Amino acid sequence: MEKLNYMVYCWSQYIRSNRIVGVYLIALALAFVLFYAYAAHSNVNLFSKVRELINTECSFKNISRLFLCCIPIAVLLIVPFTALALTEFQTVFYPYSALWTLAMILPVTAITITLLITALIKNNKKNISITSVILILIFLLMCGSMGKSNDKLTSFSTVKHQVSYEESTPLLEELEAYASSDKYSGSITVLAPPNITTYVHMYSGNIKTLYGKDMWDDSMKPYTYNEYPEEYCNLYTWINCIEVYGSFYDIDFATPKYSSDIDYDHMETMIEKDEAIGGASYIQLAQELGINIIVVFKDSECFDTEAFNHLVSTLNLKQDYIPLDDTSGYILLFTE
Amino acid sequence: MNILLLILSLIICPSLIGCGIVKTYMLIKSKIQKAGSPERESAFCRLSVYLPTGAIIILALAGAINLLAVFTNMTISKSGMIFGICVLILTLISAVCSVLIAISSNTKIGGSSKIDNSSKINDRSKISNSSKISSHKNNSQIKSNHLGTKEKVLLVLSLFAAIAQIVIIAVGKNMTYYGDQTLETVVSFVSTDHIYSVDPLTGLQYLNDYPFRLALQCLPFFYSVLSRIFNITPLVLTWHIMPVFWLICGYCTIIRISDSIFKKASLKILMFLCFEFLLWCNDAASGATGFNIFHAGYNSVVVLELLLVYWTLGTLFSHNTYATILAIAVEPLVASTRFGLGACFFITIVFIIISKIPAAKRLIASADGRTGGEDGKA
Repeated sequence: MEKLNYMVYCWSQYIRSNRIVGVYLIALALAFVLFYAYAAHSNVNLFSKVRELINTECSFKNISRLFLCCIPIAVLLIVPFTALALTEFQTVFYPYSALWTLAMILPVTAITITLLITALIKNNKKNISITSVILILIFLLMCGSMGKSNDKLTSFSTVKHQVSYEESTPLLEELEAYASSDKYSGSITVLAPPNITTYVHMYSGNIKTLYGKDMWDDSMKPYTYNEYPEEYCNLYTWINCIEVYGSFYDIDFATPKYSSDIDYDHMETMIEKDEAIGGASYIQLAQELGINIIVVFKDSECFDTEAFNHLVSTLNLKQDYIPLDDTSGYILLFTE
Repeated sequence: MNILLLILSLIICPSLIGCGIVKTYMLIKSKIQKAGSPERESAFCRLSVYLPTGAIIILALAGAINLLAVFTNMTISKSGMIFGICVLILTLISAVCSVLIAISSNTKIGGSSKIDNSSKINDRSKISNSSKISSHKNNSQIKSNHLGTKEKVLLVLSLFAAIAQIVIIAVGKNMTYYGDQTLETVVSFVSTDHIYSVDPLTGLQYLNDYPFRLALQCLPFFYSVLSRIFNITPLVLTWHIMPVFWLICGYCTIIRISDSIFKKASLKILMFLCFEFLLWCNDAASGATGFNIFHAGYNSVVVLELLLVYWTLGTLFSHNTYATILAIAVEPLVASTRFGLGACFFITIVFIIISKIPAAKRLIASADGRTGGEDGKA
């Protein structure tokens, strides 16, 4: 039952976000009415009338075949039972929106609009034709996003500071240079915030991480084939905590509700209760796990510089700084 | 320079391979059907069929060599060399076949024109009739090839849209697609010179064995091989060059569909292309076709839709069974499928089922104009 409700939710989200599907469904509905009218009055050759309207330079056979196939496919994709079956058929690695590849939305919509405008142009009343064509074009343009970007692509749900790949290139070049140096013999293992963890594997195969991108989202589980020990999870939460709160507090993981997703409310509560005792244990854990460099995001607005300097001097660590802009940048902490 | 070389190779090799295969298939078909010389395709047909056909053949070849590399633990360098040699050989053979078929069909046409000349000496009335018919044909050809003002405007608009899309994808900003790991996999293959020797998302060894589903898909292997052969960084190749190639393949398959639907009516075809390109730009919901084209054009979903699904639709319209089977066979190498059956198979099955239903058969026959005339004519 949950899965069926999820299918209904997916459909409602999809139609809300993609208005072109609405145009497509209207086109299919018009075709269905035409076919039904033909079936009901089989002695009337509606296609000859449609041909007169549209002009004859079309393969109505192929158009009919296309619409006759797209109508049942669209119904299968909307009805929750069959949509669920098709989701299983296409495998869990593709979202519901990818199923609509089967419906061939864009060619069918383009064909419908072309035929409609051709019929309007053939109309003797030019003013009505021109006005209708303009209205259709405006309606089509309004179906799009008008240039808005999609947050799901560029945002990282667990990262406060959205740094693009281009902005992080100086840091990536620096890490690659360290990896290529004699000291590290061609590769380094890095502990970094989620966006940098994502970008390093797009930039170079010589920079390794303990975990990869999208690893902490339950919906991404089918894409990952590794299971991470609790220590990796602790380090992941710790490095994100620094990015969010700018400090090196330990997090008490003995609470019953710990999941791979960051619970920020819980973290904030823990820090406010002053159960934190510093960050040295995490750096020592990172050393034990073979991390060569810890990448820490420093934002001058919220970074606890005093605590950080104290920690670095206590552990006698070397560091480097890669500026991002005037107020923020990345600190590289060398664990060896 | 390397990028230019890659672009030329991506255009020339698949086009020549597609040309050879299509011409050979049509020659064999005409011999079997004893239809004399193979029918001469229009320029539209040539443009819109050769490149996607060649691209699908190359994908099939990449898939086969990918599996060979997986099972024999071959390096990317060695398997890339084998792939490159195979593509070169296939391109040369296809080019030779195309030239030979073109020469033989021209010879046959030249022979038939000599026969016409000899009949001119014997019968003047027949000569005058045939010349009238040929000039009439020439006039009608000129008429159908001549573009009016509306067609010219639409042609300019569609070319502008196509070039703008290519430029945007080639030089525009990129995004990391949620759940996708194509680029990471290509970087991993190129740096380690092996297929799935390490987890692409960490750079470390897999804790569990990687699934066969990953090994079967040949796109990361294809991209890494191209990156190695042409010495281009994986990011530039995967995010900027390959999306443009798949987009051009998509243009060809869309032109093929429009040719099947609108039967060489230039105005309608150009109008259809303009609306299709407009819809690609406007289809901006996350995961939608248009969105994927512009932001994740290297992805298997985009290759599946633009190349395989639209191509399958074109082959179903033209009743080309072998081409449809080829698309169904190549799909598991490109996208995740259930037991090797995916979108192309599903669409083919729906087409077959619909064509068997009596009511639908009657409706399609009526649409074909069998009750009152030829298809596409009043």
